[in-house]
Amino acid sequence: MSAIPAKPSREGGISESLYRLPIPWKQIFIYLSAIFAFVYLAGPFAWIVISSVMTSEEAVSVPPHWIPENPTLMNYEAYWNPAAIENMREERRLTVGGVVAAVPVAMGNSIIISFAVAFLNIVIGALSAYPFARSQFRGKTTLLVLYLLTRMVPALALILPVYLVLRQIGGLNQKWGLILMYMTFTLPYSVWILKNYFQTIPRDLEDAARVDRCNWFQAMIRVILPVSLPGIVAVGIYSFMAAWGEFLFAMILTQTPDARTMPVLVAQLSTELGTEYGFLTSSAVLAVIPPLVLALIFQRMIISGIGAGAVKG
Amino acid sequence: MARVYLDQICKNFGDFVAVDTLNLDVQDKEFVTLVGPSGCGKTTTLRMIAGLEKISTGKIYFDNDSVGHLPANHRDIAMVFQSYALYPHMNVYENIGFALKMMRIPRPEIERRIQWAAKMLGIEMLLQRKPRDLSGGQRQRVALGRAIVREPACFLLDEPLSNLDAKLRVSMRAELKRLHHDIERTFIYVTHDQAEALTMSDRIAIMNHGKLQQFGTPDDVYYHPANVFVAGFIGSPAMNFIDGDIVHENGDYYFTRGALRYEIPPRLAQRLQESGRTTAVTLGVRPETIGVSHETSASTEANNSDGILGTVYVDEPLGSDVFLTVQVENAHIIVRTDPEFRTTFGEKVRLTFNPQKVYLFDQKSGEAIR
Amino acid sequence: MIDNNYSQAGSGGVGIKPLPAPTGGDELSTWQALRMRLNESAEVRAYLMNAPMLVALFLVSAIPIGYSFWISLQKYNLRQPNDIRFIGLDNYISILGNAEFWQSLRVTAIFTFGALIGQVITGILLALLLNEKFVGRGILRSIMLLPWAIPGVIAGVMWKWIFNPRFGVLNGLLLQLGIIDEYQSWVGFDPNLAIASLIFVQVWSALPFNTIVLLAALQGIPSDLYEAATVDRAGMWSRFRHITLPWLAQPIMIIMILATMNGLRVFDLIYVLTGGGPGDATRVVTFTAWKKAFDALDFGIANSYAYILTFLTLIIGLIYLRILYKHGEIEQ
Repeated sequence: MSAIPAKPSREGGISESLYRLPIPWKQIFIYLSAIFAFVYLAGPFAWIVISSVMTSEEAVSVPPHWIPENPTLMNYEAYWNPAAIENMREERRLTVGGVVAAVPVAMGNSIIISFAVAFLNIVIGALSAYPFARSQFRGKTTLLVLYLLTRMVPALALILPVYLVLRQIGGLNQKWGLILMYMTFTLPYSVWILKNYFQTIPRDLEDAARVDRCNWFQAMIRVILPVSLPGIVAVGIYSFMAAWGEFLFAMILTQTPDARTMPVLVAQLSTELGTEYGFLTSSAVLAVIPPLVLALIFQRMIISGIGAGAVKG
Repeated sequence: MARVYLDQICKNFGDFVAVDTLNLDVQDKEFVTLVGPSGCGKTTTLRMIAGLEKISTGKIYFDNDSVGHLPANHRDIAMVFQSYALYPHMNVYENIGFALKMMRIPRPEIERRIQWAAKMLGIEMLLQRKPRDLSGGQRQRVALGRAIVREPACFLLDEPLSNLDAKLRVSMRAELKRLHHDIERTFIYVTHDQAEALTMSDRIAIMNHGKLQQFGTPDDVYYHPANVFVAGFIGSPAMNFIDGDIVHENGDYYFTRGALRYEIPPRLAQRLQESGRTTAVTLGVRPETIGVSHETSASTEANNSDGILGTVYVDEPLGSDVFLTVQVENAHIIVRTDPEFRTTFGEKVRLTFNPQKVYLFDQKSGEAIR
Repeated sequence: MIDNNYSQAGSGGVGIKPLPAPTGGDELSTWQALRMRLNESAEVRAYLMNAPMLVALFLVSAIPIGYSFWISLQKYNLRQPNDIRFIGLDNYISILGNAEFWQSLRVTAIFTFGALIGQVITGILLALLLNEKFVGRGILRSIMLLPWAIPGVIAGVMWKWIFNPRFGVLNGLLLQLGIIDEYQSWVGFDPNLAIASLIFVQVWSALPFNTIVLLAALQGIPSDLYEAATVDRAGMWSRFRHITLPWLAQPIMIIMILATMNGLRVFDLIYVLTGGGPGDATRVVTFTAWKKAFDALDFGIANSYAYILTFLTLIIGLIYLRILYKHGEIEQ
């Protein structure tokens, strides 16, 4: 009878499955990590957003108020409705008044400059990158290396000469001065990205266009560029971001509010605003919103673009 | 409507000679196939005709006009690519009409021609779709449509069927041939598949290592191969080649290899006599021209009046035929025969060669002796 | 007959009669021919298309680069505008003999190396996490882009707000969690803590990019590799060690290159967050150069600093590239 093994082994099976069932350690670990990652990544920005809807007094409370007691949009409202600060105390109104006037102008400057840089990067970048991807010409590698080499010199070294050059051609305190500057910063990378993207497009497509009566320029405009849309968008976003966030040159090359960009303004406010923390945080939030919106709209493209580009080298 | 005339065309990529002094005269409305193994220069030749590849030396004429210096968009050609190369951002209608738009043809005419092409190819209901939503066969038709709306002087087709599955390939083959008949234009077709070449072409240009091996009608290249390469490339299963020597006895010529002895038919014997050649030849026999019978006598003589004695190495029934691999001496000979002819491995059989259909080649140069 | 191949074929009267060879010439005017040749010439086309870029680069890159190097070879202090003259490598020599330079180089090295290590580790961890399946992964992947979208200076302002020694939320949080006993000055008092805090912020900013790169590589690992390893009884750690890590070698290398370059050039963050302090504890090379230029108005020295940094960057970059492309080709 003891030779029948069925019973004990079945018992063993049950206790084993009971033993396996209960605590999914791996799952718990994953969710805990995810929560931690979430707080780490989003927490800082979330806090500055929360702070920006508090009064300056509440924002500095100790211990911090995690949830605003009297949420207010006053720190934002003032930007488009300066009357909102009318009933402030005199000296406070003086401090805040300049900010309230300067932020919308700086936002406008940043938007114009960044979009122009993105647009010009796409146009000039595509023109320049196309031959690198498609034809053999003398000096090809040299030229490409030269482009990338210009990016090896730290920005700091270029400030004074750039300042002098721009002063010579009347580009100081001008949006176009910054645009020109940023283009030369971003174009070498844009050419590189687009060249790599163009290379992934089958040669046959271009040949088909040539056979279909296009000259090389028409083939590029009508076939290669539309097909390269993801690469073009990537370049647009990348150069927009670079232009939007640049600080050093913006600070040196724009001494007047005419062309002052958001990063310069916010950095200035962080030292000049004293205890007006509400406006400091709200202006910082505003400075993040355009690139953030862009990043969220195009997140798929950004993720696949960065991933593909880096893996490919 | 054009005759395409290649005059001493060469193409070098650095030191590599892709196409070597090629002459080819494709006549108006003719269907000519360039065929050969990969890397033989056939696609390069086609691309030079298209103007997508610069010619290193030589001239290309369309009718009486030299076009070698013109880029693709200035030559009156249409091309179907192996990858189809449909424009992914345009729908089928725009794909087909793209060239017409570039040629600034009036809209109603474009519309008319697209509808005509779509109807001809049976893709009227696909016109609004994007290429990514089409099957392989549909893409192929769109690629063809893009070419035929052009009504060009010459159609260039670069392995257009190779991305289709086997069944579709056979049916598209027939349709292409019919299309050529219907639209009456010059077709230059590149393939590595000798069956496509044989079934569709008016004439076939067989290339190898950048050199033209033979240019002739399907019958020509099949029945009168110019050399070993052509003989081996055209026909499936491939021609059997047996290396051996020529023996001259009592006024007769024999092909010998070990104990194998085969009397050279008079037609070829005469050629041998004229040239006085005696050694190092290759005997070629097509599998479908070999007769085979069960060995009934107990005779072990290798050759007698009943034929050549061999041993069945393997048999491969295909339904309609049987491919027999027979070992004769130390060579393998493939025979294509009736499905009723059943054998067992190791069985003795006798092979008979049709004297009208054996070929002799110079072993060294590979040239046919004829 | 001209076409000897054709005659060789011996087409026994199949109805294809050989025609006389065409005689037409290239019927183009010289002007047309010239235009066509220019149009199809790879060189002309390439340089024409690169012309706008070349002009822009020449104007605001090439000239300034040359000019700034020229300045670095001069005594060029705007406080002494009458004493501007060529002094060869004297600026460089004086910098290399100056303790201030070596101190800022040390700070730069610590910051760069710390940020490099932190970036690689956090990048791998987050990528591994996002490579697992869990509810909310999509949201986390979107949220992940946040630090990437925040410009450096704004990030600096934001963290300054968070690090505030009197009412900063980091102090509040850590106190409530019982991790610290009293409010700390994160960037303003203890030199080590200040550098650590800067590294922390730098790592935070770079995390999205690094994670995306690593995640893309992770997703490229064929799953049968893991299955084979599991069949071979490899544990979780040894699967990570022998499959995942080697597979990630190249992307990690890329991250290291970028982390190094960005670390060596860090400026915005320092400018906003610490201003080089406490003391000179966070005064990196770029910041020292900045001070030389805009406090001391000594552009000669400042530009020499910049070129020393350029030189360092180039050397390190070349070493990395050498490792990355073992055969030395720049174009893949």
